[in-house]
Formats: sequence, C-alpha cells, structure tokens
Amino acid sequence: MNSDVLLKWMNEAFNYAEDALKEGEVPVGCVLVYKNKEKLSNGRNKVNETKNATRHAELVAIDNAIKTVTSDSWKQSLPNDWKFTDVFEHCVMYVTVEPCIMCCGAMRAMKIPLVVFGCNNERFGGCGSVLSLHSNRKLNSSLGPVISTYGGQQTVRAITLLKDFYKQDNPNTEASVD
Amino acid sequence: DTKTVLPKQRSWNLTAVLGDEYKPCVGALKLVDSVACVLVDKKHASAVLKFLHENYPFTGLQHVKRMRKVTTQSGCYLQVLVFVSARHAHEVELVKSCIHDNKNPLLDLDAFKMVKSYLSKVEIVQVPSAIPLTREQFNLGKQYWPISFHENKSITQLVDCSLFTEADYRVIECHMETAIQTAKSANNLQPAENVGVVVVDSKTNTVIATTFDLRNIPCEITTGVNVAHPLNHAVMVAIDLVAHTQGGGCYTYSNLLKEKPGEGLYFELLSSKNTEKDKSSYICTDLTLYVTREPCVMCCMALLHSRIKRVFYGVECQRGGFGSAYKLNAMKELNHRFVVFKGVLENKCAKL
Ligand SMILES: [Zn+2]
Ligand SMILES: [Zn+2]
Repeated sequence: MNSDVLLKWMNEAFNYAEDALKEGEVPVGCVLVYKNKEKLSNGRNKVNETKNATRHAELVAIDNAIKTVTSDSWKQSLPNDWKFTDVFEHCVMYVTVEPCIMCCGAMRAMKIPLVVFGCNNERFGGCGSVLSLHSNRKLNSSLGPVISTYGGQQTVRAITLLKDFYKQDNPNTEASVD
Repeated sequence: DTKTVLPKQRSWNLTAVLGDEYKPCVGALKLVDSVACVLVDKKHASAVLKFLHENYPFTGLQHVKRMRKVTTQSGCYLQVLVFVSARHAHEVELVKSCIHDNKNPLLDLDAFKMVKSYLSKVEIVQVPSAIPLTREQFNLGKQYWPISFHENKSITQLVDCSLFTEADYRVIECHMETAIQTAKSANNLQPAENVGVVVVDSKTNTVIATTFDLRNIPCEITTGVNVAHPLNHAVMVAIDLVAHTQGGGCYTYSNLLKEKPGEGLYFELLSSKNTEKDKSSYICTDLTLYVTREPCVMCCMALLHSRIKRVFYGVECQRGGFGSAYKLNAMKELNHRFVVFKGVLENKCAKL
C-alpha cells in the first residue's frame, strides 16, 4: 500500500477521534475506505451519547457505510450481481486504536479483509493484544474470513489522545478504552 | 471445568462455564518437577522439616505437603520434598543434571551439613504447583504428591450448580421459555437465525427487554434503510433495547416494538428505578440475560462491555464466546468477569 494514501486515511481517522474527545467520548475514530480510493463512511465512539456500550467507532462506521452503499447512486454503480454486503469485502478499515474483540468479530462478520490501526488496545484488543480473533482460522466458516492487520500507525498520537481523555473527569467511561 | 447435576423431574441440566483453571485435568494442576529424598530414619523428620522450612520455604505453595509416606511390599518409609521447581528451579535443574549417580550435589553444600546424613535416595517427582480450586482437582492432584485442600463454598456451588434452589430453577426456566417464545414470534418474518433473548432485572426478576435475531430480517431500525443488517444479532439489539429503558439507545424501532415481553421486540418503559440509576454504573449492571443459543464472540464482548451480571443460554454454538470458541466471561486479561450457565431447556432451544 502507498504510504501517502495510508497517511491520508489515518489522518482522517484521527480527525474523528479528536471529535470524539471534544464530545466527551473515548477518542477513537475510523474511516472505512472502498478499493483504497473512496471513503464509504467514518465513525467515532458514541458510547456515552447513546448509553449503548457497543457504539464503538468501527460499528458506527459500518452502520454509516450501509447507509452509503444502499443509497440509489451507489446501488446503480455496483455490479448487478452484488449484494450491498459484498462492498465490505473490498474495504479497508483505518482506525486509531486496535479494534476490540467485539469490533474485530463484527469486521469478520462483515468480511472486511484488512484493518490498519494506530496503538494497541491492551485492555480489549482483538487483533493480537488480548486475543488474536482476527487470525483464528477455526472460525472461518462460522464467523467469517480472517482479517489482515497493519498496526503501529502514529502510535504516539493515538496514545496521547487516550491519555488526554483519561486525564479528564470521566467516571462513566473509565473502563471502555475503545 | 464443568460438572453436571441431574435434577429430578427436569429435562435439562445446568452447567457453569468456568475458566480453564477450574478444569479437573492435569494441565490445571500445573505439575512441576521436584526433588524428593528418602528419610533415613523417621526420628529425624522434625529436624529435617524444620531445616527445610527455614532454608527452602515453599512460599505460595502452602498446599504442597513437605513429606509423604511411601508403602512398598517390604515396608514403608518417609520421603521429603527438598526442592520444587516452581520455587527452586535452579536447584532442581542441578539435581536433574547428575541424578544418574543417585547423588544430590546440593546435599554436599555447607548449608546442608546439619541434615545431610538424614537424607538418602534422591528422586525426581511431580508436584501440583497450582492450588486445587475444586475437589476434583484435589483428588487428581494428590495422586502425584500429597496436597491440602480448603474448599471454597461459592466455587463448589458454581461447579455443581447447587447455588440454585428449585424455585430458582423454575424462574430460570420461565425466562428461557419467554426467550423461546420471543424467537418463535419472528417466524412469520423468516428469520433464518432463530434466536431469542430476554433481559431480566436480577433484583426484581422482571423482564425489561426481549428481542429476536434480526440479521436476516430487512428492517430500518439501525440505519434507517430497509435492509437486513448482518450485525443485528439478538444480543446486540437487546443491549440497545436496554439502553432505551435508561433514556439512551440508538436504534429506531417504531412499529417493530411490542407491548408485552415475549411478543417480539420489547423494552420496559422508563421507570423511576432506571432514571435513578447510579451514574457510575454501566447499563447492564445487575441485569441477567437469557439467550436460546450461545452468543457469538462479538455479542459476548458486547455483553462484557455492558457489564452484564449473569448469562444463561440454551445450546452451544461453534463460534460462541461463552465456552465454545472462547470463554470471554472468565478471562483474567479482561476487566469484567461474570458467570455464564449453559443448558437451560437445551433440547427445546436446539429445536428452534
Ligand atoms: Zn470495539
Ligand atoms: Zn452475535
């Protein structure tokens, strides 16, 4: 992958992470990119806003992507024999923090083949830190295909954002890094 | 890790999904190589034990007995444990490297001057280095070397599910019946994945949310677009329904909502109890979830993020995160642990 392209999408993901921080959410942001050229959607944590602990950036982005690819203009541009879910098999998820076990499971179910991320998620990471759910081949038939990962992008920036968040008074979200 | 109790007049058995450390298997005992010597004369026993306790204590291995009686055809003798590799790895390795001469090089050290002549016949034995958590582990472990066991009542009650009374079993069965009924309520929508969920307030035992699985059912709840969303698993929807009971939530259910639990998608309208909810608690604190089929890894982690108190499920599932593919409820690495029980109305759930 072209490093300029990677940097561009990671920077966008960081913009959304910064948005999350401003809104009092755990600062994790992501973008979902189709065929490495078109942004399908973005997402940032919305756990506090929704009181729903599953509203991590990645799941928010997947929901937003579904809105995009089911729009009339998108439907017309897709090959006739494609279902809207097929689009995800040609996407890369760029996210500022390693996806947690839940989001990793969601991405496998959506058949997203590659995730590029910033810092590791030592508490909940599903792409190697706590579990290696992304590469567990035993679950290929039941959960979805394995995911390639490319971590360590702008690690310091990602960690600094998280530290900024935890410095604030956020009793409600103490335990939901991602 | 599990033990099943066959209750009378019930067609199903409850089993707790516990961490691997509770398994009644050799792996859970963490057997380690250790050095034992025969006591030349049992009258030296107390002197030898005193010497070993002072100079080579078994810190953290209090369950391991220092001495054992070995009975053979020609009589019996006492054997003492000198080193355990979990504490004295270096010493055990040294002895192992020259044991073929039947010599323990360490006994030649000055430190052993006092007791050296009391000990003979060095041998490598295996000793359980993990404290036995269950009676089964104790029974297995003591076959290797004598250990002691202090029964933890709450663990025993989990292992044999004896913490539930007959009245509890009836309540559990009743809620699972509601989950099955909820799953069936989706039949006219041709759900493909027939799963039902019931969320219950653990304190009052009242149902606060019910739902079926929506991943194959076209609807607008999540995105506003009428499509079958692959991530609308029953548990994910249930968590959002619970968020709604607390004034949150992000899905829009409109006409899919039913007025009674068990009829489909339902959540209890905002009650004073919920609005007063402690701000520092998580949305599923004090809630128990019943689900007909073991949730997938994504859903299990979603329940962990929501700090669910307890989960009961019917049948296992290959990609499940509560016992099959992983045991997310019992991982030391994760910040919330909770008990999961499986087997509730297993056959009925399996037929869905
Ligand atoms: Zn996540
Ligand atoms: Zn699931």
